Amino acid sequence: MTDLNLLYEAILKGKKKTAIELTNAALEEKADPKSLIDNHMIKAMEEVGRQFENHEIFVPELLMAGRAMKASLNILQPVLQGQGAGVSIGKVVIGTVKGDLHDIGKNLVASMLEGCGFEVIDIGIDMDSAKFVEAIREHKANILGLSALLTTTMPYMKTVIEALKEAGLRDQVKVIVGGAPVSQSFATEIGADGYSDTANSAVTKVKDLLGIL
Amino acid sequence: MEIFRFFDISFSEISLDMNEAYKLMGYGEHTPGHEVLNIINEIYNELKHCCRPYFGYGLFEGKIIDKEHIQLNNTILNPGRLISSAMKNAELFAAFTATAGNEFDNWLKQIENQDDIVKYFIANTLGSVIAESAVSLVMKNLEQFAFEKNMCISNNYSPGYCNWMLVEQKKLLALFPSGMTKIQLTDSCLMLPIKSISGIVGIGRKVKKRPYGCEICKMKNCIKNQKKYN
Repeated sequence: MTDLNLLYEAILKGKKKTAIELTNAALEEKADPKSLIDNHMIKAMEEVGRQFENHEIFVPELLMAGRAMKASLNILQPVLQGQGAGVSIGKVVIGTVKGDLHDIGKNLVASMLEGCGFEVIDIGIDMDSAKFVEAIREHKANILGLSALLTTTMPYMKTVIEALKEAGLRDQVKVIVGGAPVSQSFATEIGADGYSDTANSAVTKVKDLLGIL
Repeated sequence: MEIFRFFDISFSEISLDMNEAYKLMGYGEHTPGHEVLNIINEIYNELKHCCRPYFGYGLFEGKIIDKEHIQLNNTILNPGRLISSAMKNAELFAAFTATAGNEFDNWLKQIENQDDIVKYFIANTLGSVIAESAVSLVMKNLEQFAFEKNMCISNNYSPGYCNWMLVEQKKLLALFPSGMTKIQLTDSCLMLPIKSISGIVGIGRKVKKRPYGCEICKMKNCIKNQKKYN
């Protein structure tokens, strides 16, 4: 019988190969995929988030955990879909705004959101408002995540929010903003619904906005 | 006066500041653990074979027009108050570019396609450090040039920082003959190759290397100022 605590540990420590082996073994033993995700894998990612916040681990370790989580999820998703069960707890479109090519923060947030059960559509860097609007419309996302690293590019976040309004989509999507120069007061000023300064708190904020917490 | 100097160098001629790389990876004063160090070393070894940094500069006569504008030849740049002030007393101006190169970009794209977020993150970070190291070489070259003429240089300043708008990068790169910098601009004024840096430096007998812009800048929300205010 597979010790599922080891799956928790494998994700926590970012051991992708071990996580894949244990997930496959658990499935062969007819373990419930939903239970694996909810009771072991997401819990591991929550602990990863806690350790990251406390500076016990750093960005590469956080990403390693996200990578292991994603690998296990990739195995479980087809099984869950076969059972008619959905995996995603929300759909997020995320991108770095026009004029800005920095993607580390965005990638971190995307990884943590994926690890915590969200479907993430990462549209990339240097994205203009039309691309964000198009992605929200196409994917019917609940959340839009906007990232910027430069003080000279962060004002473009407001342009994106205005474009959502013009497209009649603003009421359908919650907008969360982040990036080194961004602050809560800036988020409020431009009419965003939320702000986050770390990948972990982004997950909490998104859950909060969707009423999942 | 218009002098252009560009250098095509091998990866081994760049000295990467790995402590800076660790800081960019979020470690602060900590050092990565064994497992992450192994990944870093693996990527570093790959980089040796696929990275050809390229850097250089042009020297221009110019003047500070007012508190926000500088003229280089016939080009008027608007780098803002902070940078214009840092260029005080400059008799010459250097416009520079430094890039990790197209080979690096292509290699990074391959890694991105492998869907390995850890490797991509580390490779991306090392690319930033390579570009910064190439800028250090620009500065060493300019220091030597200035020293020979009994002059000093200012710090280097780039569009996108200190309130210098990115769109100004068009004017900055237009100072160079076509193709010389090996850098192209996207419609939104981002540079390709992606790991590239452009900027200006003031040179003159009375130019002082003042405290770096970040030391005197009061923009609390700028990435370069995060350490100071946190």
